[in-house]
Order: sequence, then structure tokens, then C-alpha cells
Amino acid sequence: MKASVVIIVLGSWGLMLFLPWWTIIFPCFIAGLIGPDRGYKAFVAGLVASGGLWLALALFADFQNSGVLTGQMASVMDLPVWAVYAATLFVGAVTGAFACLAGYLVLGRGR
Amino acid sequence: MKWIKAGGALLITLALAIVFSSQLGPVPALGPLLNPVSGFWQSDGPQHKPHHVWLTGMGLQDSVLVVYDDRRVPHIFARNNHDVYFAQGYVTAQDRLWQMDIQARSGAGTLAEILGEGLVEIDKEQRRKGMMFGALNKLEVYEQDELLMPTLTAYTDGVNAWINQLSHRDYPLEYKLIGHKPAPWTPLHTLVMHMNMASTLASGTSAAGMSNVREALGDDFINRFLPAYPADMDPIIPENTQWPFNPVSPAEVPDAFSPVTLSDANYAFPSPYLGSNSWAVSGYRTESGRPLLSNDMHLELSLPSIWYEVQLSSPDMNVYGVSLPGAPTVIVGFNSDVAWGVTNSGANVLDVYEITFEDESLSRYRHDGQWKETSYVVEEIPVAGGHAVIDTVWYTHHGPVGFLDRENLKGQATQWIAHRASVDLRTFYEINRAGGYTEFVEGLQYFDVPAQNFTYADREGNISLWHNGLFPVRWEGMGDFISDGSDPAYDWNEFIPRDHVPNITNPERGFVSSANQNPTDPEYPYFLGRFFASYERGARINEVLSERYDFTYADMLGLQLDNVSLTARTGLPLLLSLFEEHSSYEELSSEEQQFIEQLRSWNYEMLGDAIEPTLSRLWLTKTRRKIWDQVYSRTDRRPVRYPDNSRTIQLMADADEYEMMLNDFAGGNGSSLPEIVAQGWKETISQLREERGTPDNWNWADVQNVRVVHLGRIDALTRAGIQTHGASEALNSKRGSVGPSWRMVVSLEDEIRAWGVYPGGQSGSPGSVHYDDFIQPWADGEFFPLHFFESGEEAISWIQQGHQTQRVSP
Repeated sequence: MKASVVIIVLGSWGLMLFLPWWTIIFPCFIAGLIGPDRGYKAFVAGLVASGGLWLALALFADFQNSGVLTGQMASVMDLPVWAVYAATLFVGAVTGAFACLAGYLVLGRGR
Repeated sequence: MKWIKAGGALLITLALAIVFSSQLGPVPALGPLLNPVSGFWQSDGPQHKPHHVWLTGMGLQDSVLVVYDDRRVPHIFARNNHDVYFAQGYVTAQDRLWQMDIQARSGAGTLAEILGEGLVEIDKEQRRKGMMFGALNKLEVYEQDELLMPTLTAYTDGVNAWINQLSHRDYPLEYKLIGHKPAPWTPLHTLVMHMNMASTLASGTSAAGMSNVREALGDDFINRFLPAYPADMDPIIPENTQWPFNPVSPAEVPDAFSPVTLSDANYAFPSPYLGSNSWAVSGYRTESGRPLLSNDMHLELSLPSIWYEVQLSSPDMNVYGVSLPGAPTVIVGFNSDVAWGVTNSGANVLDVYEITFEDESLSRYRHDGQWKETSYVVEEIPVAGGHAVIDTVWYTHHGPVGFLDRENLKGQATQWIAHRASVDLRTFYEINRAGGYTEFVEGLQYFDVPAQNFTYADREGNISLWHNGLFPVRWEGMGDFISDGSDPAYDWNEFIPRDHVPNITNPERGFVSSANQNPTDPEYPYFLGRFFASYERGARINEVLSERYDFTYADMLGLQLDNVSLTARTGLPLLLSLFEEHSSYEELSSEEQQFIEQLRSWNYEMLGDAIEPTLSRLWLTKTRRKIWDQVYSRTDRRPVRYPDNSRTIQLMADADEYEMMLNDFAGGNGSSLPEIVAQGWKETISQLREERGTPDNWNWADVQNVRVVHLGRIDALTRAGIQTHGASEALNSKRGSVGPSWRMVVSLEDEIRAWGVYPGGQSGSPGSVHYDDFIQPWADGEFFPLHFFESGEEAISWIQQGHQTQRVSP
């Protein structure tokens, strides 16, 4: 599972720097192919690694900006600031989780 | 089973990728928007301390130094004129790209292309107004101008140099919200921005409203109550000034024309709230013995702001002031020798013509006893997520036909001075470099629209004012009503020669001033139009400037913040004394008696934390409405132009004239003035109670709701409910989302000193600390000293010493 997390974090980050956000499904899928030995582990690996990456990068951007932009964005969306984080985490985590699970299931390893 | 599970997971993954990449109704595509590497998280904009950068390459001929001071004002030092305008385009785009794009789209009628179907009608309106027609006509003459075309091109290249290096991650927030990207800039975009300014300031018309009034009430009513030269006007050029030239004669005055009504025709009246103040005081009225110049332009207050502060320095120029994002040069400001400001002219430069077509093909229209050919343009309006909408716009020699009644073969065309070819920006190019009065006046000749009162002062001690623009030569009343498009008497054949426009230099009274009021008395040999701003602000400026001989810059700052309402000063005593004559005055509740007492002892200052301005304004508005409704209720023609406050107050002071008005124009029956005033009071109190509850919620600032509105109408990015003083008729002229958009005072001493502020911030990025950092100082009546550096070295050393700009207030 550790390998999956590393592949997802490094792969997604690298791809997102240059390509559209949805290309994160490829490293997540690959991580699912080679890493976990259980379906739920694959799902959790995608969830934690991809979601964690999105959350950490968002926190870093927010920190650099002293929170000004996040506050503005929250009021544009008419949401509290934590909900903007939650939405970001959700998009990264759920997409990563299913991509990783799909990778695991395609190869069909484990019991 | 295994493959079903795997297929299911794959499908869900792909579905998520697709759903999060799509805009669903009002919800933007969440994936790209929330992506922490390139989504909104990265659209933070500038946060940093003062710094300097060297721009090189990208198409620059040499290196350019840009020093950002602590308010993020860029001070640009270039070694040639190409580079200075290239850098201006570059730094402006860096801070204001989305604004430039959306405003250019709004002018060109291409909003629907990025915002969808809902904007098609607005796009159509802009195209029928001839916005692009005017911009293209202008482009043709710019292309012939050996100074301005290189300027426009350099600016354009600078904007595009910035755009070209952007990736999705760098796009301004608003692009990410609507899922779009910036379009390349062209010189035509700059001219569309100029058309926008002309549209804001010089495209209103009262013609339809006035034709309705004339039809219902006749010329007697108009001449008495909607006069071209109001009795109380205090014209810009003092009365009894001599005009030493032979005027160009207009055509013969034709018989009055009765237009037919087009049901969908809809024109904006000139806004009575868009206006400005400007004055220059000569050395003999100032403490320093040197001139002082003051200017504040009252425009729609927006975020990002309409203005961008900048210093431009090249070998033949060093100028500081505000620029329009999307256009090169400084529009209002100063250099080391001269300072200038502007206020808008209310002169009529847009006429509406009734057109009669020969047949349903609309291919020919009546003019001068003949059928003449029309032309047409097929406008294709692209629509995001839909098919392009096609709209055919017909043109006559007057201009584009905005409204059509095909059944009756009628139409209305507009002729607008902004449709004509002109190189208006050349004026600012020249004035930015002017070393004295002669060069200033030479520069003015290029500026046609929107006509402005250019106020001027220089270090040699001169002060001057030019009511400057291109004006058709008119017979008196021409263009006040809908014109007969078939009669050549209404054509624009000749224009007022530039040395005949109203102007005054170094007058005896020691100051020049303008607040959009009538430029001259009736002795001036040309007719410029019927509706200029009412006298209040102009008269107040003149009243204060006549008082003293020891003015300082702080007095000028203070005068910009003056809250005295001449409307209240003249109208309220009348309201109070008329009310006393009415029986209900004796029956007021103790609370209402208290209000009346407060109004009696009030000093007519429109302060935000007082309720007297609220009571006075609402009471007068209701009374005025009631007086004229007695007349206008007798016709169902709409729109109609109402007489203004000042004329209404004059009428209220003259019982005989009021009696006459009722007899002649209201069918002999109507209410007495005390009755109307009493009703007005009653309705004022009940409306305030109903809408605002108890009197502690009636403060003027809450009623005014001064606000700075986001250009994309995103409420969260708007700043509303600003607690501040002022009112539209006061010098501190604020009303809702209109107010002083740039305040500036310049003292023309050996070393020029200047102060300024605008309600916004240098960065258009809502995530930047510089998005709205000037709003609070502006609301509090504070100004910033403007840092005008001689050289790049001086600018760098200033920021390196860690100076902080200290606000000043009068």
C-alpha cells in the first residue's frame, strides 16, 4: 500500500503540473494494478493518497496567500471556508479512490 | 463477476472524471476549479511587498524597469516610447486582464460567447448601437497616425506578451469560474474600450421623452419648465464673456416635427448622477502663490476599478496619473510641468431620427425628397453552448437603425458623434508630454468624444479650462426631440471649429471650475444641447473658491469632501414653510415634531450618520413627483422627461406661477402646494417606517447604500453598505454605486506634489490584498500622497528605504 501511495502522490502531482486534473486517474489506476492485495485497501489508498495530496496542496496555497483568496472563494460559493476544503478533498479523494480500485479489480489479484 | 466489478469501477471513475469536468447548471466544473495546482487556489494575485523588476526580451527594444510601490502602483522607466507603452500593456494586463477582456466583450457585443444565451439581447443592443461600427471607423484613422498606431501596437504587444506566458494555473479567478480563457488583445479592443467610455458618458438622449412632452403639453411648457438655460445656472464660463469670432451658421429652423411612437424603442436618458468636479485655482488665491488643481470624476464604482494608477517615464515624458485598463497613456494626472483634470460635458452628441422606408425590403429610405439606399451589416453573435444568433442591422447616412416597425415601414436611427473617425487618444499622448499651455491646447484638438471640460494648471502659473470635443453646429432645439430623418435640416453638416468651443484662461476671478453644468450663458453663439447638470455642485464650488486668498492643498481635499446640499438649502425651508400652512401640521405626533425640529436646525450637510438628509431628500423627491404627476398624468405617453429639482423648487417659491401651471397644463385642477407638501411628508414617514422600521435605521448612509460593484455582478466580490458621507448633489457626490472614481489634487510648486485615492485597489484579483485596499481610506475621506519619481534609481531607493505611504486627510 505504501508503494501505491507513493505512486499516486508523485504521479498525480507531476501530471497536474502540466496536464488537466483528470489525468490523476492514470497514476491511481496504475497504483491499483501493482500495489494493494485487497479491494478495500486499493480504495483507501486512492482515497487517502489522492485526497491527501489535494488537501495538502490546497493548504499550502492558502498559507502562501494568508487565506485571502479562500475567504473570497467561500463567499462566492456561499459556503464556509471548511466546505471549500471539503469539496476540494472530495473531488481528489473520490476520483483517486475509484481509479485505484478499478486498477486493482482489472488485474483481479488477491482472494 | 470479476469483470462486472472491474467494469463498474472503471465506469464510475470515468463518470467522475466527466462529471467533475463539466459545468452543471450554475455550478462550475469542479475538477479544474478546485484543482489545487492550477485551479482557483492559484489565482491569488500579488500579495507582496514593494519590489522592482526588469522586463527584457518578449519584443521589448531595451530593458524596462518597473518599480512597484507599497500601494502596488507601477512606476515604469523605459528608454524609448515603444517600450514604455509595451510595459504599460504588460503590467496592466498582469493586474487587470479579466476586466479588460470582459469590458471589451461588453462593448463589442461578444459576452454571450463566453457567458451564454442570457447575454444575447445585451450583445444585440451594443451592435445596434454601432459600438463596433464606431471602433472600426476610428481604427482606420489610427492606422494613418504615425504616433498613435505604434503606441497602440506596442501596448497590444505588451498585453499579449503577458497573456502568452500564462497557463491555466495563472488565469484570473473569474476565468476559472466560468471555465474560459483570455482572448488575445488587438488595437481594435482598445478602441472598443474608448467606445465604452463614450457610451457611458455621451450616449444618453432625452429625445423620446421630450417628443412625448411636446406632444402632450406643447413648447410653452418646455420653454418654461425644461429650459435650455436655467435661471439659476452658474455657467462654467462666467456670464457676459465675449466671444471674439464669427460663428458658423446652422441650417434654417424647420417646422416642429411629430414623430410616430415605436413601441419597443428604448433609450437611456443621460444619467444625472454621472458627473464630476474639477477646478484650478491661480496662485493669487493660494497660500503658496502657485496654482492648485483638483479633479474627481463621478462614475460607476466597480471592482476592479475603472482606473489603474501608473507612472510612465521615457526620454520625452514623465507622467503620473490614472489610466484606463485596455488603453495606453495616462488619462488624468500630471507631469513635471502641468496638471490636468476632466469633467464630462452634457452637450448633446446623439440624435435620434425617424426613418421612413420605401417598402418591406428596407432597401431604401426617404431623405431630401428622394429614396436613398440603405446598407446593412449581418451581425453574428456567437453563443456559448449554443448556435450563433444572427441579427441584421440597417444603416442610413445618419447611422444604424436601432429600432424597427416593419409593419408601418418606420424605424429610428441614431447619429452619434462616437461613430465618427477620430484619434482621441492622441490628446492624452500629447498632454502627457506637454511642457506648457500651448502644447496642452495643441493636444486638445484631437479629442472628439466623449466631450470633456479639460481643466488645466501649470508651474508657470497659468490656469485654463476648455469645453473640448466635437459638436455639430445646431439650430436652437435641434436634437432635443426625435428628428425628422427625411429632412436635411436635421443633418449634421458642420462642426464647431475647435477654437470656437467655450474656453477660458487665467480669468480675473482667479479660478476656473466645472461640475458638468451649462458651459455658457445664452450669449455664446452656438447651441450645444438642452440638458446639462443642474447648478448645485458648480455653484457650491464657485461659492467656496470666491471666499479666500490663502487656499492650501488641504483645503482642496476638504472641498472635494464637502457635503453641503444646495438642493436641501434652497428646497427644505420652502417645504417647511409650506407645510406650516397645512392643517395636518398641527396634528403631528411628538416624534414627527421632533423630526421637524431637527430639520429646522440642520446645516444641510449630507452626513452618513444623520437622518436629516434622508428625510429631506425623500420629502423633496415625493413632493416633486406629485407636483409634476398632476401634469403628466394627463398623458399616457411614456417616457417623459421631468423638470429637475431646481426648477421644481423655483416653482414652489412662486405661488402665482404654480397657479398658472395648474391652469395651463393640469386642466385647472390640482392640489395646493401645502396639500402636496403635507402628503409628501406623510408618505415619507410611512415609507421609511414600512421599509426600514424604527428611525434608528434611517441613517443616510444606510439609505444611500454606497457600494463598489464587481464587474461580473458576483455579489460576494462586491463591497456594499459602505458607511460614508455625501450625496449626488453635494461636491462629495455619491449615490448608490456612483461616486468619485478618482480623487486627485495637484499643487504646482517647483517640485510638484499630488494626492489621490480611488475606491478599489490596483489588483483585479479578489485573492490579492490589493483588490480593495483603497476602499476604506476613500470612504473615510483620506488621500494618499502620490510618489512621482524623477528616475528609476530614486524609485528603487525609495522602496529600499522601506517607506510606507501615510494617508492624509484635510
